Amino acid sequence: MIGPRRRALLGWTAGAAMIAASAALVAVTPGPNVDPAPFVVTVAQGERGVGRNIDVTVVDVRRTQEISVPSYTKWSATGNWLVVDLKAAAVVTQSGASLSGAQFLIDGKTYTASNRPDTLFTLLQNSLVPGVPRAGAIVFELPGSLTSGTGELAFSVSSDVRADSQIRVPIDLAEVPTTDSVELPRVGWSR
Amino acid sequence: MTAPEAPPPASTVEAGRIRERPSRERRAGTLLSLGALVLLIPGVLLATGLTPWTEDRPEPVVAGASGTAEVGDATWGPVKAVILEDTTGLDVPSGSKLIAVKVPVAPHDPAAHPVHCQSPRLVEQRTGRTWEEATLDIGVPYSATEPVRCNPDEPNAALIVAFVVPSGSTGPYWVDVPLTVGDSTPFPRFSVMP
Repeated sequence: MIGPRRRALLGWTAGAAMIAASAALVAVTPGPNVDPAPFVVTVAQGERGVGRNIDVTVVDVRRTQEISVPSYTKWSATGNWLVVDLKAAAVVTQSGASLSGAQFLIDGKTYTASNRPDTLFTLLQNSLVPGVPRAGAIVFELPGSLTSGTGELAFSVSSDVRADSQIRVPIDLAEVPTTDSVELPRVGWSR
Repeated sequence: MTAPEAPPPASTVEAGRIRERPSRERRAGTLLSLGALVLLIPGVLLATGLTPWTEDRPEPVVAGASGTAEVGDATWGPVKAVILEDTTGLDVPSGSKLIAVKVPVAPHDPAAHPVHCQSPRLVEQRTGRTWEEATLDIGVPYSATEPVRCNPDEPNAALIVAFVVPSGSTGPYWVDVPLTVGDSTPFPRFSVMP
């Protein structure tokens, strides 16, 4: 049998322990904007970035005033274009795996990849095959004044980047080589 | 010889307060409730945890020794899967291999119950890696007589699909034929070793 003093002491100790445990729980609980954040994998240009179901390598980055496609449509567009050549594959499954999330993050702003080129000439929305990379370009149409600063290319298998892998590649816009025009390659297997 | 021990008193006096000893029935009740909690808490966790995995999840019907599976209104299989060594004229990258799969479909009553299905999928049994058919990606145009998914106009045509997998990938594989999208009805599954 526990004496009344020890009993009281036990009660106070248990109470204090519970308050401490609740405080610890509050402290470790993620805030409302923390849990949906993407799982970011940052790699350099030319390095392979592998996430849950995305495997991306940025091969080349160029800036140009004009992009065109090599087809009978003779489609071309002028602007402040950022052209990214990349290889992309899935890791575990092809169902629902397409390169749907392609963003350029700079100065707190997010630019999504342009869907203006025909789908034959942009990897955007292309289906990703586990273990067998596809190669092609992704283009970003940037404001004319945006020619310098450090930003990040960000790729994911869904345009909803929450709670899934996102491969990020930092680039310095001022360091990116500039050419007069770029003919976009046709999307195909990486050779 | 010592005197026999006195039976324990029904109550003890402690610092001026009388503390009742819990009765036998009450102790049995406490044990019963604790035991119930021990069973119920993991049970609830298990049930709530399993629900999202079991609800509306289509179950595979694995083909038996005959190589065929009876699913929906059709007989599926037996399935043939081969690695195509000669890929002349096909767009297949180095470091990969091409697996061609033929799935015969025999609807029981195509006029009354046309069979609908999506393109077969290839699943590496060891890892669960899943590929979709790649007929267009290797440069083969769509053919009505060798369709990649069930074609109600050609009810008895076998599905012919091709998969591009990395050369390091090894069998055995599952060939799954998903039926209509978002459906929880079972689908036929075949084990193949191309």
